[in-house]
Order: sequence, then structure tokens, then C-alpha cells
Amino acid sequence: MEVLHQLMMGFQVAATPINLLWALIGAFVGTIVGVLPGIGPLGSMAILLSFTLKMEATTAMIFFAGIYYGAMYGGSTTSILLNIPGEAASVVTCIDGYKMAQKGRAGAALTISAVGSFVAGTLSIIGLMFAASILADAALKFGPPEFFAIGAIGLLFLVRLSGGSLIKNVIMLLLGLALSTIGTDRLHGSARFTFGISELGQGVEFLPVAMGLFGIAEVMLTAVEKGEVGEMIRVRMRDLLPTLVEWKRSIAPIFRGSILGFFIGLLPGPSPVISTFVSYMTEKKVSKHPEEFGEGAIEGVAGPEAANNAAVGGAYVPLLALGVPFTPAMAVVVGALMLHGITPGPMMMTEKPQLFWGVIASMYIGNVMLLVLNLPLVQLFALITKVPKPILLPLITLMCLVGVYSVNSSYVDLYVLALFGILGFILRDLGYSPAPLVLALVIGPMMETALRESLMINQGAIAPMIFRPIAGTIYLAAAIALIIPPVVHAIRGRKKPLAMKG
Amino acid sequence: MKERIVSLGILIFAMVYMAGAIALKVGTLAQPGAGQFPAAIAFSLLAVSAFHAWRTFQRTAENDEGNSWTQLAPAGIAAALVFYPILLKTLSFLLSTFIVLFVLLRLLRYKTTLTSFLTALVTTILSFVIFAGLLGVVVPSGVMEQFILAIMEPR
Repeated sequence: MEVLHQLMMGFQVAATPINLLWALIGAFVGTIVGVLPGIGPLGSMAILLSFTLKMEATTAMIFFAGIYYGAMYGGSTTSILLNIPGEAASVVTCIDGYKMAQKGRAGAALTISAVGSFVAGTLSIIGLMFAASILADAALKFGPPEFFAIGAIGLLFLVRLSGGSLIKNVIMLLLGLALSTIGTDRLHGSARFTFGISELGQGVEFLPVAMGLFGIAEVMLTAVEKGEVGEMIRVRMRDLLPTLVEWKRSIAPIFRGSILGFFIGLLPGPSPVISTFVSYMTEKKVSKHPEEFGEGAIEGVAGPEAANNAAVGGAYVPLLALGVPFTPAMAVVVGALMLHGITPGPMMMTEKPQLFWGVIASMYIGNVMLLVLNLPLVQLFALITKVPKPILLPLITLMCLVGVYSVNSSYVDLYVLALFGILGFILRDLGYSPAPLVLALVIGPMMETALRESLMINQGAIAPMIFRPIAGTIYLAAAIALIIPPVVHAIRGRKKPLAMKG
Repeated sequence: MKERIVSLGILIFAMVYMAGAIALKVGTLAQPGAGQFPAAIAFSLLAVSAFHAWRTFQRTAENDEGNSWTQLAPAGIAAALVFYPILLKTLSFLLSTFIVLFVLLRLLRYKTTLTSFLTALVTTILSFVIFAGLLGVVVPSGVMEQFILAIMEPR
């Protein structure tokens, strides 16, 4: 009952005209971002961070939630109509979505995708509501060793799940932690690695680093890419309605995708992307028509599209409950909160209930807005991919430059943006993922403070830090989660040759 | 080759960072100093980057993947980014932003020179109106900026 009461208060906050307007703008911008290949929700949230300076913190959060959800919705449109994933979480939708479009079922695929996203978004918000409040209550019992455990395990999972080369991910993580040590030492007040530059005393700002690595680097990578956008499959309004069979075949995948997506969303790393692959594989396994997968199976659209939206709700849980961002996009959300003088954490629910419940309520509203917005305007959104690169890239660069400068009016921030833009281009070109660096930069200071406080409390003993009830459970659960999959994989690998011999 | 250059660059950074971390007060486990956490990271980074560099040099260098770093477009964007703060400091917002935008549009071969000029001009003014006028961002201002702000001011 308490939760429902709080949620009603959240609706009162979210339903003010100004918040509704920014939820709509966020959803609209997010959909455009999702449609445009290259600029993901993270880049756009980072670019638009400066727009939130004059907003109330709650409004800023509502705006960002709209962008994040909108991007997940928008990504599917170009996947289905053009075979171009607007962002990474929509890659899987291309497989069956585009095949359906080629068979004249684009409208049905778009509707199932939108409805699936809506259902999953709503279910994941319900999950977020309960999971975040339970976790936040538990987190009040956390001490420095537990916060260090959460940070360390989070980064470890991120490195394992980010894909690509493991060693490159570890290097990026350590570079991020190294960067996080620049600035004034929190406990002793001494300057570290500042080289006499007073602006560095505050540490390396997260925003120019994130915008450089994700925004500018993306612009530079896109500038050297070749290839034109292909012909778009047109959809009429009357084609949008799926058949009864298509509806029936989509219901179970939507619910399975929602549950899978929410729980995968709780993990650090690119959870929306991972959730789509897991959902696709699950649907193919449980389907009565596995041979249709890859040839236009509606389940291959419904499940993954539901999963990537549900993962967004899941990703908000560690942020709202613990104050620890597990994805780069959530790190931008932390940046926005910090700009408004709010430190996210377990106390946020009790100290800033309007903000906490307002954001959750706005997600419901945002989901309804997205459903209403997406289907009638689908053709218009798809046309956005036709914007030529020579105009789009300079505009994004300009937004990054002005956006970074506007936060602190600092020239140093502009140099940091340039440095990380160039570094991001070089590193991403060679397969180094920027996500571990960005997250380590954000989590690093919290981890360092927690580690040093833990060591001081325990007078330098490491064992009591690990073998505390909560911290120990966290380490044990993480060890099981990290060790079991490779062990199972190894056992299966051994069994196969034996079976073949037999 | 590019892999080797980058792995060496990271290794050199790790060495410099290690030297800096040791120069700070490391302290003991019971009384950790400002340099303890950086030293732990530096040690890990040095070990991992040394292993990575060694592995990179073990492989043959001829299959260089990815894009060329010296292509005109990314090199131009990089130059624009480096020069923008200098231009902003000396020429104020409108002129510096216009120059950078015009250069980028030409670099990416956006239609004709005149179209690029007009697009850069309109976009610069619009961005000033949005950021400085509506969002209240303080940008380096000269006569032109003051003029636009005066027009926007409610009578």
C-alpha cells in the first residue's frame, strides 16, 4: 500500500504540464536518436546534459528517461524498414523484422514491436518500483566494504560482458580508474596528477570524457564510413494491424522478453544489447517453428524488442537504489543529478521522494506517449535516416562543443573533449570499448574512498572486509555467476567429442 | 602497426602513471595514503599493458585493421576540436563557431561553398540564440553577441 501511495505522489509530480512536456520532448528526441545510426542514447544524453541545467532535477530525470526509452523504441523502426539498426540493441530485430517487411508485413512487425516495447516497459517499471525500494532498504545497512564490493564486482562483470577483447576491456577499465584518481585526494586534501592546472583539482569531468569517447569519436568514425542508406519499405496506416495469429504468437515472447530483459538489465554492461540476443535465442529454442527464424518469424521481433525495453527499467535499479551506475547511460544520469547537487544513493528514496517516484511515474507516462507517438509517425521517423552525413556530423560536433563548454564555461573541458574525442577514435577503431573507462571514471572515486575507509576501520586487515555477511554474499554470488558459465561450457565442450565418438 | 603503436602508448602511460603514483604518499594498509590506490592501479595497468604489448609484438604486423587515422575528414575534425578553444578565447562565440562549422561542412563536402557558408551562418546564430539567449549559458561575447542579446531582450 505504501508503494502505491508513493507512486500516486509520483504521478502528481510527473503529471505537471512542464514535466509532461519534457517527457514528450525526451520521448521524441529519443526516438530520433534511436532511428539515427551511430548516435546512441548515451551520446545524445551526454550532448543534451547542458539543456537540463535550468531544469528542476526531477524534470531533467524525466527528460532523460524519455530519451532512453525513446531510443529503444526508435531503433526498431529502421531495423524493420531499412535493415539498419538505429542502435546496437536493435541489431537482432533486423534479422526477422526486415524479412517480415520484405514479405509485406512491415506494419505488423512495427506494431508488435511498439506494443511489445510498451508492455515490457510497463512491466519493468513495476519491477523497478519494487526491486529498487527493497534494494534501497537493504543498502541502508551497507558500509564501506559493501560499497567497495558492489563497485568492484560491477566493474568485473562489465569487463566480462562488454564483448570484444577481454584484455582491452581490462586496460580500458584500469585507464578509467587511473583517470578517476586525478584531482584533490578526498581524505587528505592533497593534489594528485594535477600538474598545476587548477581546474584539474576537481578531477577530470565526466561529461567531456563521455562526450569525447562516445559523441566526437562516433562522428569521426562515421565520417570515414562509406555506404548510403538503401530504399525504405513504405507502410500504410491500414497495414499496421497484425493478424490474430500474429498477435497470438507474440504474447508469450513479449512476456518472456520482459522478464529476461528486466533481470539482464540489473547486470553491469550493455544489458539492452545482451538481452535482445538472449531473448532471440530463447524464442528460437522454445518455438514450434524454429525453421521460420531468420525468415520473418514474428517471435524474433516481439521477444527482443520487449527485452531491450525491459532492460532499461532494470538498469535504473542499481542507480536509484544504490547510487551506482552499471551502464554508461546511467553514468550520464548520475552526471545530471550531480549537476543539480543531488548524490544518488539509498537515501534518495527517503530524502528526495518526489524525485524518485516522479521519475518512476514519468516512465509510465513516457511509455504511453511513445506508443501514441511511434505508430502514426513511423514513416516520418524513418525518413530521418536520409539526413545527409555532411550536415549531421558538423551539427553533432557543434552540439558537443557548446554542450561541454556550457556546463562549466571551461576551456580545459574543451581540451579534454578534444583529447578524448581523438583518443576515442583511435581506440574504438582498434576495438577498445569506451564503456569500461567511462564507468570506472564515475565509480572510481566511490570505490577508492570505500576501500580506504574499509582498510582504516579494519586496521589494514583485508579478510574482515571480505568475510562480512553482506559483502561476503556479494563476492560469493559474483564468483558463482562468473565461474559457472565457463565451467558448464568446458563440460559441454568435453561431452560433445565423446558423444561424436560414441 | 597501429595496434603496436597504441599498445606501446598505453605501456608508456602506465610507466609515467606508476612514477607519479609512487611519488605520492603510499602509506600503509592500516593508514592508506593518497598514493596507495593509484599505486595499486598503476601496478595492475603496468602488468596488463606490458603483457598486451608483448602479445601485440608477437603477432605479424601487416594486417592493419580499421580506418586510416590520416584520412582528411577525421584529421580535420580533430584539428577543429583542438583549435576551437583557442578561437573561442580570441574571437568570441559567433565568429569562432561559424569558422569551425564552415570548415567542417566544407571538409565533409556539403553541397556548394555558398550553401555551406549560409548553413554555418544560420546554425551559428541559432545555436547562440538557444544556448546563450534561452538557456542562459555564458559564452565569450563581443559586439555581435551583445547585439543579438539586445534584440532578444524583452522591452
